[in-house]
Amino acid sequence: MHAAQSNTELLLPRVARGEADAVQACIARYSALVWSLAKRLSRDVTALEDLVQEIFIDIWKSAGRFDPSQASETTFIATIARRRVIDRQRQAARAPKLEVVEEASASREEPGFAQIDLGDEARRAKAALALLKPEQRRLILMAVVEGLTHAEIATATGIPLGTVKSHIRRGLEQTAELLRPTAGGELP
Amino acid sequence: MSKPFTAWDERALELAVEEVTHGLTRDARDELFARISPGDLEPLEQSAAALNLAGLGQLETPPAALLRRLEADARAHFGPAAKPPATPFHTAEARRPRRWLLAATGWLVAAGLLAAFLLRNLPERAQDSATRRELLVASAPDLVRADWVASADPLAGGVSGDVVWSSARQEGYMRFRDIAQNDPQRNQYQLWIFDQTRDEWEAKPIDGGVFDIGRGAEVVVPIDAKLEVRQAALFAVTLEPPGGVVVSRREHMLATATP
Repeated sequence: MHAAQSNTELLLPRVARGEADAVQACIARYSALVWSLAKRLSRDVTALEDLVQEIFIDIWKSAGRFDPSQASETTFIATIARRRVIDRQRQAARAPKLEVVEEASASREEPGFAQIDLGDEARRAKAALALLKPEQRRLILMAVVEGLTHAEIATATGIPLGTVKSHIRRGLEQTAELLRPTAGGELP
Repeated sequence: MSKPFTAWDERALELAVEEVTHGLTRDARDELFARISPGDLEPLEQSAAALNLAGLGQLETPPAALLRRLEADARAHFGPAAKPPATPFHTAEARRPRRWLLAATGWLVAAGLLAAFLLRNLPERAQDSATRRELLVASAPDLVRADWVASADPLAGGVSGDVVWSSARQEGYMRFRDIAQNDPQRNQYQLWIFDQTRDEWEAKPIDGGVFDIGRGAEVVVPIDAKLEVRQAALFAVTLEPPGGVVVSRREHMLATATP
């Protein structure tokens, strides 16, 4: 089991059994995370609430597949959320590129109101980010946190598209290596 | 058996990175899944999610209306079994005898049923109040919170804990540690809420409900305010005769909390 979960009660196995208090606790624990993640990634803020509802329906449907030996609950839920956002984006027309960059940058200044233990994977991912060069780190965060396409990142930064792709790929590979269940080891 | 991404061909890796970061077109996605299975993508998806979490920064609480819709969706998805209990906010009150029920079914039968019901359900209901409190704390934009301060009354003991209240939701919870168990036949606890927007608010606090304390290291009790609370300036717990009082003589003021 991932270390981050050792002090936090697992909710998804109980959600999968339809236990009402676990379902409510799951909403209480993860709604701020899903909302914040979707708000940052989504290009259609008018449909944001519908999107979050769809993500939670996906969570209810997928709870039985959660395997604590593979990922923490937080990462499992974030993966579901990202998948749903990407599916939505696939169906939607893309927003103007530079407007999205400015909007995403502005949203970073908004104050937060909730705290959650983001889990062991997020700590390892931070370590993976720390190993990247500043330019690589910036590019991968633009891709996974702001939801920009590789072409949009190339346009916004002036970095050749091939370089953008290779930096993002290297960052993902490095993180995946660190997150492998057999990679083991706790961060100091 | 899933195929590790280190064993993928260059084209599969290129497509996979695009899929997990921002999504491929349908055609490109078909090409990707002709090369690998969808399950193979999971390690890279989880890496993207972990990086997303690492770079997300502070979290923002969703709108209250959305939280209510999420709960309604959940009830629709899981069915009636996932519905909260009919009286989810009244954990402590569930221990009180209900006279209409006794009259309708006969004292002995009803008492037996009630005892069995409480034995089976009290821990679950207490847990539900704790969950509801957690939800309120996570979502109420106007939440006020204050720690209990034990009074000098010998009955106060070493009571500690806190109280949370949302005027927007008209919902709140008291959390107690080290508070004495009461005998409902002899006395009951009663909460008073001092709302400074009301006339003579210091003399006429709002009745916040009567409650009992059973066993448990930590007890969460829902607040049952009898009037609208607009701006709580003080919460106070007294010990009163069974059933509570309309006006407290404040003989046993056990704890107060000031937001």
